[in-house]
Order: sequence, then C-alpha cells, then structure tokens
Amino acid sequence: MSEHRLASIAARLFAARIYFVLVLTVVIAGILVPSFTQALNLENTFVQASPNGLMALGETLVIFTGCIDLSVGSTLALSGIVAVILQGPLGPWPAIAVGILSGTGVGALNGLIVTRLGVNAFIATLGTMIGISGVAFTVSGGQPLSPPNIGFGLPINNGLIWWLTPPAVAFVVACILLHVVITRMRVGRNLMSVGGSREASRRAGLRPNAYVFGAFVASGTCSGIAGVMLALGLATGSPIIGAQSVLPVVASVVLGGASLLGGSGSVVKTMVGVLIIGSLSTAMNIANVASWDQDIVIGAVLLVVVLGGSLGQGVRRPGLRLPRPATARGTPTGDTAGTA
Amino acid sequence: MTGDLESGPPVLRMRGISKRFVGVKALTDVTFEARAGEIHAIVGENGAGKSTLMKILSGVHQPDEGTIEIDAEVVSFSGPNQAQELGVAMVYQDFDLVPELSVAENIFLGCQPISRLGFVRRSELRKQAAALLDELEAELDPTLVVKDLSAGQRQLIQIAQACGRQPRIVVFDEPTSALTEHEAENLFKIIRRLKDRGVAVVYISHRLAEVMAIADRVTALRDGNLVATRDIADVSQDDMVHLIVGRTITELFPKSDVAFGQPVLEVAGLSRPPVFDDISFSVRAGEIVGMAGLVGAGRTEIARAIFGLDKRAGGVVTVNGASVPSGHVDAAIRAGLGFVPEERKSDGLVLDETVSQNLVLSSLKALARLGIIDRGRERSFAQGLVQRLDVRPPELNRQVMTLSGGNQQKVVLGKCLASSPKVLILDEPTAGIDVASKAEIHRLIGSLAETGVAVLLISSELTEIIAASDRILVVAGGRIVDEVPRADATEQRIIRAATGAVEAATR
Amino acid sequence: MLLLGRYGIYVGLVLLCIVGTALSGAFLTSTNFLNIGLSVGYVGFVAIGMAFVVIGGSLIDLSIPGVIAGAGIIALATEPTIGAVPAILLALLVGALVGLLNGAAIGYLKANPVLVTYAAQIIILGIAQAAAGAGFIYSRGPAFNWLGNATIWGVPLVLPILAICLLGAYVALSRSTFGRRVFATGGGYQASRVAGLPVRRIVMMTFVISGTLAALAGVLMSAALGSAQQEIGIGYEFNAITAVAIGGTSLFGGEGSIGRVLAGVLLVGVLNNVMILAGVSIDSQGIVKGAIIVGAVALDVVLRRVRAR
Repeated sequence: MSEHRLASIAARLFAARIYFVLVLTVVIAGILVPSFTQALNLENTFVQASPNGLMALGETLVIFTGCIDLSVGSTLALSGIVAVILQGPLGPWPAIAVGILSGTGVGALNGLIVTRLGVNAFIATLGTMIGISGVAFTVSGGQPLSPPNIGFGLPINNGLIWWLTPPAVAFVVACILLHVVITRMRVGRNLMSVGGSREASRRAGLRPNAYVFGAFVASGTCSGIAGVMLALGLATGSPIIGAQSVLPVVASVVLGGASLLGGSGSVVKTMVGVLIIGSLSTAMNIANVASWDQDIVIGAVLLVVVLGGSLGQGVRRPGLRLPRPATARGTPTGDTAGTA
Repeated sequence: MTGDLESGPPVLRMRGISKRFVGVKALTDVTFEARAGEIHAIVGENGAGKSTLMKILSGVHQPDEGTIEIDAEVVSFSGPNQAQELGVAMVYQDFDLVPELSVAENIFLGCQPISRLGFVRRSELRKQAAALLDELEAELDPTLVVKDLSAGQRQLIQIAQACGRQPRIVVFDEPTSALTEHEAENLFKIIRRLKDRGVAVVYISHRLAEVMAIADRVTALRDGNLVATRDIADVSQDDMVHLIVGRTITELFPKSDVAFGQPVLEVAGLSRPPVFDDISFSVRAGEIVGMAGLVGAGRTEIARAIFGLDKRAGGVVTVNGASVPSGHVDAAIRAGLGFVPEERKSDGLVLDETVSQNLVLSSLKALARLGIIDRGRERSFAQGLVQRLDVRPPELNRQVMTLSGGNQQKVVLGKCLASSPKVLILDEPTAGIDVASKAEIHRLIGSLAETGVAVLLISSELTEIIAASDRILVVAGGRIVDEVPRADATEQRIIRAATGAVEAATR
Repeated sequence: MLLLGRYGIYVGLVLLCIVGTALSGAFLTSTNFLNIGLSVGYVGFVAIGMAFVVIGGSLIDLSIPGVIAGAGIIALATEPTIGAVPAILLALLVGALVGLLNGAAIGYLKANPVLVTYAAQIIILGIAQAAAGAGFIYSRGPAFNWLGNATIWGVPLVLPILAICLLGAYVALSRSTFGRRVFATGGGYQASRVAGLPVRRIVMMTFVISGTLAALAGVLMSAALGSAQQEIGIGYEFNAITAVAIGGTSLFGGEGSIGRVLAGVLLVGVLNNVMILAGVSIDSQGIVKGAIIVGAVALDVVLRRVRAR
C-alpha cells in the first residue's frame, strides 16, 4: 500500500477515535463490573445521560459558532422551577411549554449580550450563569419545590419508545435532528462556516451574528427541555440542580472532537462523548465506587483524551486564545491560509 | 501581452473619489475607470490608497466625495452585498475560506443550491462547482477539504467563488504573492480568459514585471493622489517606479562600498526535509547577501531554522566559529544572531505594549538587577534606540499598535539591534511599508553593514534585492540553485534560476 | 472614554462606598471593613494567581477548588505527624506541583487550559475526598488553632499575609523581568518567541504561582475553619476570574496589574457588603453580580474598539 493511502487511512482512524474510546470504555467497564453489560443497565445509562446529553447538544451548536455557553446549568434549574410552579395554575402542558420557553428566553438573552453588546461569550454566559442562578433562587425561594401532581400526571419515567423514556427520546430525536441540520441543510452548513471563518462568511454575504444568536437560542431551549424533563422525572424543581453541569457538558462536547475555536466537530460524536461519561458514571455507581473515586476516573479519562488529541494534532496555537476583537487594522485571521 | 485596442466602453468609472479617516486623508480626488475586456493595473506603495479605493469599490466604505458609475449609471453601495449584486467581485490576497468545508461548499458559501425544505442538494452542488472549476481549467476535486489545499488551490476557489456570480468587474488584490510560478501562469491564463469574456479586470500588484506582462493600462497612486494613467505600451518598469515613488531606484536603495571582512555566519548542510535540504553558504562581515526565490521556496523556513525558531534536522550553524545550537532562540541571540521576521504584527511586536517595552524585550536581563528592572536604565536604553532609528513619533510610552508600518518595523529592528548582533537576518523587511520608511530602512541596513554586521536579506521584490545585495542566493524547492554576484544580477537570471528547478522537479 | 476605562474601577469603588455610607450608618465602621476584608481575603490569594494565568494568556485555572481543598486536607492531616510548619510547606509544595503539571500540559503540550485544569480539578478533588474518607478532618493542632485565630492589632492574620502577597505579586508582575515576560507572552506569544523568551516555561510558571497561592488560601481557610472539607474551595475559581475581569484586566491576556486585581476583589467584596446592608436578598445579589460582570467586559470591548480607531 502506498504511503499516501496509509496516511489517509491513519488520519481517518484518528478522526474516529472517539468511537473506539466508547467501545473500549464499555468493554472495560463490562469486564470490571460484570453486571454493567446487562441490558437494563445499558438502558439506564442512556436514560440517565439524557438530560446532560440534551444540554450537550445545544452546547455543541454554540461551540460550533466559536462561542461557549456556561449558563446551561442555571437554565436547567430555572426552567424546571418555572414548570413546577406553573403546573398548578396553568395545567401540565402549558406549564411545560412555559418552562421550555424560559430556557429559550435565557438563550435569547445570551445571544443579545454576545451579538449586540459584543461581550465575549465566556464572560457573557458566566454572567448569565450567575444571574440566572440568582433568578432561580429568587423564584423558588431558595427551596426545592414539588409540583401539585407528581410528574404532572404524565408517565415521564416510563418507556415511550422501547425502553427509551421521554427524556431519552428527546435526546435521540434532538441528536438526529441537529445532525441532519448541521450536515445536510443550508442553515447548518452556514452555521459551521460562521464558526470556521467569520470573515469568509461575512464576505460571502452571511450575517454571522444571526447564527450566533440562533445557536444560543437553541442551547437555551435544549437546556429548557432538559430542565423541565428532569423536574418532572424527579418530581422536584430545585435551584441547585445543574450547578455542576456546565463543565461535564462542555467536556462531553470536546471529548466528541469539536474544536473550541468553532467550525468543526460532529453532533453525533458529542453524543458519543456524553455516552462515554455516562457509561463510566453508571458502571461505577453499580460497582459502588465512592463518588470521589468516580471523579478521579472521569477526570483521568478526560485528561487522557484531551492530551491524546493535542499530541495527535502536533503543535497548534497554544492554549485557548480568545479571539481578539477586530481592530482598525483588520481582524487577525485565525486559520492557516497561504504559506510563506 | 500588451494592450488590446479592442477593449470596450468603461464598465466602471470612479470619479473624484475622496476619503478621509481619522487624521488621515486616504484618497484625494481620485478618478479611475476600467473598460470591459481590459486588464487595468493599479500600482502604488502601501498607504498610496489602493486598498482604500478598492474597499470603496467593494462597498465596505463609503466615499466622502465623488461618484461611482457602473455602465454609466451612478450607483451607491450600502454594503458589500449590494456591490456583489451589482457585479463587483473581489479576490483578496488573504484567502479567507472555511477550512473544514469542502471546495464546493466554499465556492457556494451562503448560496448553496437547496431543495424546497432547505436541504442542500449535494450532487447539484458538486456539479455546479465542477462546472465552474472546469471553466477556469482548474483541476480541482470539488469534494476536497480546503484546509489541506495549497495557496494556489485556495485562490482558485476564491476566483471560482467570485466568478460564480457572473461579475462585470473582478478585482485581484496582490494575487500572486503566495503562488508558485506555475500557479501564477495559470492565474494569468484565467485572467486573460476573463478579459476575453468582456469582464473588466482590475489588477493590483507590487510586482511591476508582472504588471508589464499582463496589463493593458496602468494607474499609479501616490499618497492618496492619482499620479497618472497610462497605456502599458507607453511605460517602462523604471518609469513606473518613478511614478510610484517619485524618486529613482538608487535614491530608494542607496548602496555604498564596503570592505568585506571575514565570514561571520557560516551555514553548512542545513536541512529539514522535505522543506529544505543541503543549505550551505556564508556571509562575511559588512556583506549584504540577498536570498531570492518564489514564495514557498523555503527561504523563511531556512531563516527560522538558522535563528532557532524551528528545529533543524541536520546541519551546522556557526557565528564567528562558535556553533549555534538548534531550536534555542535565546542561544542564537547570545551567539550574535538577530532576526526581523516576516510577519511584523504577530511575530515582531507585542502590539498592546509600548515602544519602549517592545524595544527592550530581548534585553530584559541586561537591564535588571536581581531580577528587578531598572526603569531608569530601561528608559535611557530605549531612548537611545528611538533616536538612532528615528522612530516617529519619538514617544517611548506610545502603544506600537498606533505607529505606522514603517515605524513599527523600525521598532522591530531596534529590538534586534539592542543585542548588538553580528549577523542580522531580515525577512521581507519592507513589505507593506510606505516609501519613505523603505528608504530609511535600507539606509539603516547599509550603515549596519558598514559597521561590520553580516546581513542576510530575504525579499520577494526583485528590484529591492538586486539593488541592495552584494551577492544573491537563489532558493528554489528548498535548495540553493544559483549564486549571483552583484555585477550579474538581473531579474531574468534570478527568475530563471528560481523557476528552473521548479519545472525540473515537476517534470 | 479612555479615562473611564483606566480609572473607572476605582471610581466605581468609591461610588459604592458612598452608596454604602448613605444606606447604612454601619458601613463606615471598622467592624464592617473587617467583615469585608475577611470575606475577600481568601479570594484575594486566588485572584492574584488567576491574574498571572490570565495575563500570561492562558485564560483561566479551573483547578483552584481542588487545590484549596487538597492543601487544607494535607496540612491538617499531616500536622500531627510532621509538625505545623512542615505540614504547611508540604501543602504549598503540592499546590505548586499541581500547578507544575497543569502548566507543563498547557505550556509544553499545548493542551487546552480550560479542559486540563478542569480535569485536574475533578481528579484532585476526588483524591482529596478519598484521602479524607469523604468527611471532615476535625482535628486541628494547636499551631493551626493559633494560625486560624491569631490577630495583629485586631486584624486576623489572613489580611497581613494577603497584603504581603499583594506586595510581592506587585513587584513580581510590574517590576521584575519575569513579570514583563508574562505580559509579553500573553500579549504576543509568537513575538515573544522570536525575541528569545522561554514562553513555554513562562506559561508553566504562571500556573505554578496560581497553584501555590491557591494552596496557601486553602491552608489558611482550613486553619480558620478548624476543619478541612472538600467543599471549601467550590466557586472560588469563578469568584477569582470575576474579580480579575471586573478590575479591568483583559481576559485576552497581555494587560493588567495587581492594583486592578485588588480593586476587583474589593469591588466584589464591597458590593456584597452593600447589598447585605441594603437588605438585598442573596438571590438577587446573584443577579446583580451577573449583570456587573457582563457590564465590565462590555466596557472592555468598547474601549478596545475606541483605542483601535
């Protein structure tokens, strides 16, 4: 086989490494925790990972545009609380709708701050993360709330399709939907372009801000859906839920190979990243691994995948550089273009 | 090919254009027109107003005064989109493409063919892209991902993108700066085909030989003013230089007689395959050795390897007999090497910092006691450099970002000189700099040579390198293919050497 | 406009104090100032370390909570065996080591700082919890008892120690060659390389500083609390980056000063204090803080645009 063919095969395998990691994870977990590979446990893994998974999908869109959304955890909490509070006065379905819309609203707020005020996404969503968490605490009075009807009278914890509960179904549907949009539809391709090269997109007549705004709205909506479903499933709307979710969510996205600079990655691979972390958690729960040891394992896996990725890519630009705002002398082009 | 008398009526007419930015009058009453089926070149130094004029044409800026007519109808562009719709297409010199997307997707960025539901019709996309590329006779697979492509290929995509909208006017901004000779030839073929189709081509370039070869008419701008518009047949290259610069070449690149000393820099067997191999040469004290070659030939890589920015696979570099270790910039500086990099803004300066801070960046240890910087010493040190190099305005606490290109380059040079180098390597030192600063920098280089510094000058501007060098090394395909003494230095000899090896390699 | 950017933070601080005085007679008391000092004391250490990381261009160090907790646990746990001073030194050493590892991965392997430090945080917290048996370490030897309760002229020991650190950091950042190099590395990585700076080592050192200072904060906190828990550090990384950003240090790197960090820390502290005095509920406080962060950076962006014209 020629050197060129070998090189391109190697490159493809390297690009698909996340699937190997998933298989490896499941296999090793299955060996170490024999009951993990039982159907019930595998199903549970998927179901339990779904809320984080939904958030990760929305986060993926934002990361595709080159931004980041730190407010997902707070949005999760807020939407759950809103739905629970409104269930009594409005009835189950309208309450659910408003809960989800509150997530959309947060997304729109983020989008406006980033596109209109020009604030860097990290800071903007750091601010909304803290602020919306405050709102959640205010609205709930600082206490977890229970809805008048547990689960709104809806069979939220029963399987909807096969063994997939509604949250899991939402996860799968969202994954398929977003994947199709990103890979097959003009809107999705344009979104990737905006993340890949803002300048090229602008020159082609696109409006990057519109796509960034849309991505944030999508992320907020996903978090809203996840929050409402979680509140239903747990029969509680709590302001502290999701406080620690941000980084696992971002970690899943990056695990899935998306570049934090935007413009590259795959929705499906994000789902794989979510499943890897989910599998580890579930397997360790079954094995009664102490929660701190679980953290060590997950942290180590994350570290290995991240370092492996950066080693495999060779020397790139160091660290995470925030893109500098455009100056009068022109925006620094971030990508390699042309040689010298 | 020179002017074609059958070019048609003016498609584009820009009349009396003036534009002022904060504190700077970029354009004053400039009139420019382009006819259908003509290749009209615009030449001028940086700061002359070429890019401002084109930004107005492409709708990025609005003129303060003056009118634009397309097909004799007055138009005004509210933005770049409208300019595109009215038939103006730009091919920029920085190829901004989306690296993760395919060729076809980049060509049709934002206007992909879609079905009613919004799904991209992939086979249609591929077909249309292939058709466009075929018209340009570019052999490019539309499914390839852009980030793996060469500069020439990326430019083809940009041209296809521009042509996809059936423009009346196509503007090329420094199109050959990143192309090999072969790719440049292809580009000229494409441009001539556009001309045959009746498109008005505007060609902006620094490379006067190219302009002579391809343009029908040429317009020279200087300091925001129109100097002249002439038919190519009526001007020579030297005429053009004079129009652009307002002075002669020898005024621009003063050359004094220097007695050469011993070899200071000796490079033997430097290699880093496949980028460059078997590079051996030496530079004597007081000598200015030029390194010519096409963009992509490997000159910058060789310089960076000598200076320690990149690791080298093999070879030895010595300064005054002392070996310079590979991959350690501070060791190189201590050994007496200085380097003025090609990318001034990213590699030469810390833009947010002041003139003073940039000047002393390499010399911090020398100015400190027990790790604490002596501010008084720093101030006088920087002051000395500012005066020596005539940095304007001579304010130590001014952010370098606010300086002009020429003065920024002086700061970069000053930073190198702070370590009293014995060897100075300059990579495209006058690229993107106004005329006056250009002359100043060459005067500085000359005076450095007089004091015994060995100078290695990399430049893609043949006029410059021929005028300034005592000896010219021609690099092609990562090897030194010719060594031309000053007396024998002509554009033809250099170009022949620079491209001969490329053709041999591609056979 | 530029003046606002440079001095706005100090003006804001003064304004806040005026508002505080107007709202409550209790504001201008020394007790109150002491309260403010205490609440910001520990954040101060972390903010200094974070400032080095940010100015050096690496955006953030998320491993702080882990290091704080871990250092506290190590100090308290080993003190009976090896004595107070060695225990403290060991804790600081561990903090520095964590910083070294983070810095090596980020500086030399060019790994993403957000992810590496986050991974480090989970791992360290996990180890700390496992080591502490998922509980508290209640015992506090006499040395730490003294450390936690000692006061100088009525001011708890934390504050003078912080003052010393601030002074040292100021000298290191604004006066030393190292500090100048940190600015250059953050403001122009490639240019610093060309100038011969050991950029990778500089990046690594910023993380070592951050880790060591976080460990110091952890030791002092645990001494004051009398126990070492793994939650004590939670949220400190975000508090620190907030203080740094509000103080006007650009998160893009290459700019900033210890004075600004101090101002940012004080602003957050005074703001909290004023809100409490004004009877603002804790939850609404979060909303206000969030809005301020956003406002601070919006200002930064606007100022950059103004400057560039």
